[in-house]
Amino acid sequence: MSEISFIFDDNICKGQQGEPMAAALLRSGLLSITNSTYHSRPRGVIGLGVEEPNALVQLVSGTQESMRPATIIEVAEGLNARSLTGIGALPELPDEARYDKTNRYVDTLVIGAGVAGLKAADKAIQAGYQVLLIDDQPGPGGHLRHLGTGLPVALRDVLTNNKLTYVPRCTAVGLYDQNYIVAVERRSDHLGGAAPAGRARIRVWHIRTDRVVLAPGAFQRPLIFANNDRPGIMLSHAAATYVAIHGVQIFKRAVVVTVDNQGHRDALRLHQAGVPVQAIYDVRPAAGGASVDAAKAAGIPIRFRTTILDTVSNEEGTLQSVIIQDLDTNEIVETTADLLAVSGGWTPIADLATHIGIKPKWSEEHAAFLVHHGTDQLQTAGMLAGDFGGDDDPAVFFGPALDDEQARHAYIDLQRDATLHELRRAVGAGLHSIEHIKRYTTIGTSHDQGKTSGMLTIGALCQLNINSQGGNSGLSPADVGTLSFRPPYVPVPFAALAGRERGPLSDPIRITPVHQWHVEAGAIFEDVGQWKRPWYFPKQGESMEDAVRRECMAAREGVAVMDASTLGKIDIQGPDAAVFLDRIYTNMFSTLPEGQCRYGLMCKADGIAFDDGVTTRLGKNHFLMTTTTGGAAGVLAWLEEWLQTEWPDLKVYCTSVTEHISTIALVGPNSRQLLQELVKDIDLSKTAFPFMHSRMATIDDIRVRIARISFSGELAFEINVAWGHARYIWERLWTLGRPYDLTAYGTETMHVLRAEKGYIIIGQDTDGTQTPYDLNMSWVVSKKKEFIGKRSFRLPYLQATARPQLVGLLPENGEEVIPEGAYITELNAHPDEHGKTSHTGFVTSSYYSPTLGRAFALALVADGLNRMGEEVAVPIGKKVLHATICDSVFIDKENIRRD
Amino acid sequence: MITKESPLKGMNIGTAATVAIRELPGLHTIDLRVAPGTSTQAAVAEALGMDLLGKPGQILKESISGGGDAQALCLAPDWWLIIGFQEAEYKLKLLQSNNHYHFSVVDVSGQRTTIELEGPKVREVLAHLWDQDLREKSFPIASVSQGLMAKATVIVCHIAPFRYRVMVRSSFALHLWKALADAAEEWM
Amino acid sequence: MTNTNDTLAPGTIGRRRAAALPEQPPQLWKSVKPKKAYDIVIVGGGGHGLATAYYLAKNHGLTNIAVVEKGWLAGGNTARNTTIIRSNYLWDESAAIYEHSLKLWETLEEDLGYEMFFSQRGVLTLAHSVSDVRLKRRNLYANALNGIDSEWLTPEEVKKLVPIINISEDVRYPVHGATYQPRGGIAKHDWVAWGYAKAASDLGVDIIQGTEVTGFDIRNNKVHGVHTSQGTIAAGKVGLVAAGHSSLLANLAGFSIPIQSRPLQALVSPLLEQVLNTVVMSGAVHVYVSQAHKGELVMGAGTDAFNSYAQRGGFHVIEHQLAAALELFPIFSRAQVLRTWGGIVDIAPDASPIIGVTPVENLFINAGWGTGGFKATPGSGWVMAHTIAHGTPHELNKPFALDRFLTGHLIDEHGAAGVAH
Repeated sequence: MSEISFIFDDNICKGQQGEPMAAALLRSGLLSITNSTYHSRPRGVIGLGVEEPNALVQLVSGTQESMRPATIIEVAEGLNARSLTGIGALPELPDEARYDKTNRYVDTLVIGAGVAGLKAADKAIQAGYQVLLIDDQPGPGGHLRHLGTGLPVALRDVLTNNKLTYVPRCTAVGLYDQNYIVAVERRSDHLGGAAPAGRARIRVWHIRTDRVVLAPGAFQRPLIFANNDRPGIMLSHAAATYVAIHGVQIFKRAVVVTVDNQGHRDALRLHQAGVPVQAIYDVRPAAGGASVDAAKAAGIPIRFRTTILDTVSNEEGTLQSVIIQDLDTNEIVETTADLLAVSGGWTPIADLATHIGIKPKWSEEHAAFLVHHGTDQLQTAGMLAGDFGGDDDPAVFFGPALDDEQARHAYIDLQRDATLHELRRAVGAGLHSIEHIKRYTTIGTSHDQGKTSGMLTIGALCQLNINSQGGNSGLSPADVGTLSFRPPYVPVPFAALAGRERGPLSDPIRITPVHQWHVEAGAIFEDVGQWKRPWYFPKQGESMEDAVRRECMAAREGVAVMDASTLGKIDIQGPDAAVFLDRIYTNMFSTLPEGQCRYGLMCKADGIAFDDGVTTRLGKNHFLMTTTTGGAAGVLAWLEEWLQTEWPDLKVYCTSVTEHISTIALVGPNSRQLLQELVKDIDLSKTAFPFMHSRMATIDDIRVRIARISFSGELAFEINVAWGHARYIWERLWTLGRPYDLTAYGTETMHVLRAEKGYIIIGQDTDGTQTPYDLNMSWVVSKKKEFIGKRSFRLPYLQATARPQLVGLLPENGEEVIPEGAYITELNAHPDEHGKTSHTGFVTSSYYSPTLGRAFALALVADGLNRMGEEVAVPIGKKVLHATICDSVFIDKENIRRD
Repeated sequence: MITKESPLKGMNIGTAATVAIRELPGLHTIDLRVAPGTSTQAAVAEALGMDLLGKPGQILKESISGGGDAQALCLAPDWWLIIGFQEAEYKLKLLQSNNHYHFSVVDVSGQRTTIELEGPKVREVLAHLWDQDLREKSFPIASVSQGLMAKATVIVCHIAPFRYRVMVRSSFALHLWKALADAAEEWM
Repeated sequence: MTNTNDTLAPGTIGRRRAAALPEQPPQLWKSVKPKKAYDIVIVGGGGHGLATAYYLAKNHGLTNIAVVEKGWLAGGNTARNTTIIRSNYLWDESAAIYEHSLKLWETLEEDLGYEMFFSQRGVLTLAHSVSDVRLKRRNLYANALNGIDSEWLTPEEVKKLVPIINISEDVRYPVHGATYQPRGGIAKHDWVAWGYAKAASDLGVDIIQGTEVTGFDIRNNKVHGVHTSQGTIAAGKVGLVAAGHSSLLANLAGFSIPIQSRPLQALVSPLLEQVLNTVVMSGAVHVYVSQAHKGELVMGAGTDAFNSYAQRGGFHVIEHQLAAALELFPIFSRAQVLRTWGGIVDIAPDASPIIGVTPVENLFINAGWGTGGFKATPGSGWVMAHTIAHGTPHELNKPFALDRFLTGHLIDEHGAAGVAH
């Protein structure tokens, strides 16, 4: 262990590499670390580990993590930290550290590398299991580390066994069902500046195991007495460890207060390390055993039936003297001390067990809640299971009786500055459940989740002698139960749990095979679910409006091309495929001839339209369904659900081919001419290749399937080609298209073109409440067959008059595009006495049409189909636009251009 | 013959000493659906010259006529992916025209691409992103499983000692590649 | 000790004086043993049940009432939610009831004489795509016609309101803008329940904890009382207000309701310097976060995809949630998860509540609030009290009748109701 320097509150401190910061600070004489959160009382270190409630620090060096107890920070060269008063800071500097996660499956997981855990690991190894042993300390041994004794040889050998993987600095933070454990490993903080770059600073372990052994040990707990929070008051085991192991030599006169033999052990350690122990004040009437005998033999005075009542501080606010009470005579005695070492008993760490609902049981003999669990899947060992080592004999005692004034400074939760006074008030207010007490007083809600305060709360409740019904009878901790602990066992940085899911990796980006071409062409992209789709392709100096107008004109008057690869595609085949589609779609598909395509709409069982697309019949028993881009996965799941759960007798199989086939839409009056230059083996003329037909063809030596489908309402050819050939075909079109001024277009133009034709987009012109009839699509509803949703059309509400219906809307001012989502009212509508204005519909799609030379919109209007020609109002903030209800098809109603 | 472009354009990184990651582009893949234990399955197996006697999670290696090996991945009792068997569709065409038999054969070669990872550190790398059991006893050679990796749906195969293949949907491939490269960073 | 530093320059670290909680009143409620009979029994002692009891007493003068709670008062969803309050829902019917609730919120502390840290610090709902923007703008126009304060903010305006937000175009799902309800905000959930409990108790309502309803006394299709773990309690009318456990109670009463109960998780951080003064919700990236008065970040996650009454959910939900949060708020990188927990959201097919009569006479139900429960607490209790007192629904809860699933008149709030659906 080498000596290093670090900075604390702008002062240079010396420390031993790797020791807890708390030890170095204490050794340097810093008893008072910070002021308390709400009462501004000086506070210092009281414990040894994550149970520490007071000494929270902010790292100024490294990742500047906040709210960490100084007891668990290993000092290293270059460390710089500041004390905190209960509030953490959030530096704005980017966190450059790397955080990752790993998944592990093991035969046996042992949590805790103390003696009990090592023994359990050994047993598991002997039984032939692969063992993962994790422990939150930097080294093995648990309790033994604090005693400075090495491991017995047998247990040391366990660590080197090749069936065992031992991971230090790895804290189990959550126990989940079916033996799924989450643990957090801090891998490089202790290396300070020497931490290798690129190494994950924190790794989250997701462990799944056949067997878990919980051997987490226990925390010592304090006592509740007046002014029990002064710097210089510490848990006795912690005090003895700082003095004996970490060379803290600042104490001149110690007093030990105890309920068990542990206090005697710690008194002896203090004494042997050279700290004069004025006396051991033991609440019990008598005690025996090796620890007590040893303390006696060392000449340490022991006073039974006494305990600590109050303390006095000096002008710095640290401990100056203690006030001891004789429990039999009530006599009080004041005695000077600069260290008050308190042993209030051991509280086994039951947190993880409670995560999955195991209820610890109170043991009067141990003065503790224990978890005895011995199934093959989960076992407890060590102190958690009640193995306290044999020489303990604790009294069930949580503190002396205190009057109201004393209770005001008798702290239960040091971090929350929550006292016995608050607890009494809660009980007096009628709150008896420990959960209520916690919420009323905020005890246990700090970073330590009540590791020391929890048991004190239970004890204090018992000592108040109230039972849950409000009567006055003796209460045992068994009646009160434990606080509920929740994962994580210790606070875990957000960044650690986010891991590598940051930036571009935070959610998949889905791209088509032509993506790179789009990027190089300067496309601006839109997020459509996880896909990146070109939104529009601006030329140099073009605004979005300019680009969209140009693209629309090209599609309507020349030829334009769009990447439609993202559409869902499902191969459906089998003797019952046609029957199946008839049940799924609202319209008939069994009548579709081979080699032809048909638009289909599907409804859920409630009669509401939820997806649409064009389906092609490739063969007698073979169809290719397309879905919306966003609906693909949902539709496939829908189809499978019906096939697997309702109609398993149907002979149909569905296979996703969304990314096996890419689709390129070539659109416009010149599309045929351009495509014929590429396609030599079939006749693309109107008579040879009618609208809504599908043909196989060849482009260079690549087989493609061309379908005359049009979402734009223009003459259009959809070229379906293998995903891996899409870019080639696109570039061939692009090269041949130059003389035609071939224009690439994106989703915005696609939206405008289809809206001009009154074609709906599911999710834009529908909001999950439209039937096909509402969409003016009664033509797509077959009268001849049953299909999903048909029955629901008969529901009273779906038959009601004045349902919103899809219509067109022409704004009075042709230059003003009505905002999408705007609501429509009657012309003379105005707010009623409640400030509400009744409305008659809303705008679903709205664009400027370069072809029409004006703005237009689609809208859902109440009884709209019967209100053609009516003028309506569209309030936009303080302005009111006017518009006329019209047909939803604005261009080429006879479909001459398309066909 | 105009070659197909693969989603990852045959990228490869890393080293055999720790972990090498490479795309195996253009693996011919067909998606076969046929009910298990039926005469149809027997007929399909015979037409293909493969056994198709496997349980979900198993990869069968089948030698095919004309030389070479194909792999049959059993993903569910009635669901197989057959890899490396170009003539499979052709061989089943005749059978399909017979109304007595109900099965589905779909060429899905482009639907996914395959990323192969190989090297002593391969399990460590995969463990960053894969939450299933990679231990030999749970996932021995010739095992296959589906799940999520970096939020992308994948099929993972244990091909040979320290060699795994991850089949990922083409549109997700670049994303998964980046996630895997990132996971392997400390070994690159 | 270095000086307290209230304003923090970027990259610096300082300390702030923490905001303490005010003292509670000395008497909240008396927990009593049930009488043999009451005029009205409310099953479920959460926020909604307690509010119902209060309004029955306050608005309708009915005080011979018992609230029967199987656990500790308000220990269910009321204790577990992320305390967001707003009323800017899409459909007129939803907006009406949530807005009524918000108006009650605005005078609630005064009405009950009880501090509950009701803070109208505004609620932002972010849009992350073109279609997201479209949906949210529609919501705004609907709000305008319903007289609800809601406005559109550009990304720059969002940044002004929430300096710590990342509006960069480089993130996976950039912020395209947001709807903002200035009157929305948060309140301290436990204290809301206790405020209602105290007020109800002061008006003479009996509050009975630790008592589970195990069945109903129903004769000739009329309810006459409830069977409980403490014996049978006769009742003229019974109101079921048990959130996630509503389906189980309905089954005991012989009818079924189309509700699914899912785990919904939330988490808090340790106390941190105040960096967030507004509530921020994002459906696309599944984050909703506020910073409480004391200083902890309160964040909600998404539901798990399966039904459960276990009040705990999958860990991966938390991980995805935090990854999303860091994209929006890089500064949270060093914040820590202090504690995670789960509640049970009860969700109807249209993601709207079910409030009103049941097939059993004199038995009323109020359930299915899903993720809308906390903000609706006053409004829900108010209309439920009216419904029970009069035996028929109020105009505000008429649209949320159980029989809407037979008429088809659903109020589909899946899109608007927040992240968890």
